[in-house]
Amino acid sequence: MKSYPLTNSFSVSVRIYRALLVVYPKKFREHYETQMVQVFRDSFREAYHHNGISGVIDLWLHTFADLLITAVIERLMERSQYMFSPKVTLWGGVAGLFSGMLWMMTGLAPLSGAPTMVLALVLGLGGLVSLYSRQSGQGGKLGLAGFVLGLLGSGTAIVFLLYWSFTFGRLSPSTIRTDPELAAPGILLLALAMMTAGMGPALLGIASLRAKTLPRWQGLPLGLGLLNIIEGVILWFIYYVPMSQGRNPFDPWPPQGYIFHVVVLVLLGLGWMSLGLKLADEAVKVTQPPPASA
Amino acid sequence: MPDSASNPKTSLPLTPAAFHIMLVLADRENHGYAIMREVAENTQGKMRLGPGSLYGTIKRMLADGWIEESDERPDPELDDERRRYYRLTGVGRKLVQAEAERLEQLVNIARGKKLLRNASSV
Repeated sequence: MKSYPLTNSFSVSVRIYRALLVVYPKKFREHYETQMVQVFRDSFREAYHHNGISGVIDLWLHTFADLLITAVIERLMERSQYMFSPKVTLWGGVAGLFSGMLWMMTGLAPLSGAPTMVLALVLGLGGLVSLYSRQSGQGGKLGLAGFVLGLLGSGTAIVFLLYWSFTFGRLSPSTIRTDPELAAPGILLLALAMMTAGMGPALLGIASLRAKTLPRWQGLPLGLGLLNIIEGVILWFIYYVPMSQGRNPFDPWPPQGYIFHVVVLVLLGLGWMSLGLKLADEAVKVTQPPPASA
Repeated sequence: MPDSASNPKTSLPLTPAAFHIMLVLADRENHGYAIMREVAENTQGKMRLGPGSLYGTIKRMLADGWIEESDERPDPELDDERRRYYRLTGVGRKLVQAEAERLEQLVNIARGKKLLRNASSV
């Protein structure tokens, strides 16, 4: 056994360790700094007593690695807590509500074209964030996979539509009519992006059903996701297939099966409006202070 | 309330750190450093919890209601009052039992397939 290490190296080590704790989130430090320093102090004493300087070096290597890894974990977890705040759920829900209105508009007024669709998709991202936030991480890996796929699909569709608008002008019947073969790969990409985007709410919906995180309306996200996937399938069959064969899907107007497209877009709009409204309504109730007792 | 409160099995499998901490707390309440030492002893030094992983895991277990802080001091005379003691809650006890049973089943399967070096007939 070595003598008790009341040396400079002890106090310097403790000071350095305390200073390094700054890498943790403030809240975590406030709760556990004293305990962590205490544990480090005890560990230092024991390491020195048993193994001298080599024990201290080993302790520092282990403690430093532990500090780096767990600081990253704590910081990520802190960020995810912001993600799961009622404010995120509320404003995301409002975005989802407006997204629903725009999807309906896209269905009922097809000439509104790409800008309306882009806006609906952007606001739909807000709805997706709200839904994920509402699950508070209880959706597990399936929920996370749905969230990532939803972001990926919607993001791809948005980037494609913006690219198309800036390169070829509006994605409208006239553009498609001019050169259906040129427009075909774009429509295919859009169809695939919409299907991927639909996987988001669908998987989040399944995760919600499994984790029972949502109340009575818990089937809504799944239905919404399926509608989004159907929208992708419709884009494929009604537009991409004739275009890839060099035919103009708008000639004759309306294209075969067009009514299904309108119905799906309207249902998609109604679904997003209902889901956005529910999410926002619930978040408002959570953020409101409880009534004062008599 | 976390789902583990009503059905512990939804939280399984536990992380190795959480399981070892709960094993230490299964027979008595303890403070951070003692938990850390006992985990190292129980695993023959294979699992060394640093202060960050120890308190990060404790934080999540407190939030999930698996453990709670204890105001009692086993020996106030000898103890540093800045230390915080932790103990298992009822939910935590059910959970650690469920995890132990789950692991026992796996060990039995491994034993049946003669994968354990010191496998004894059951």
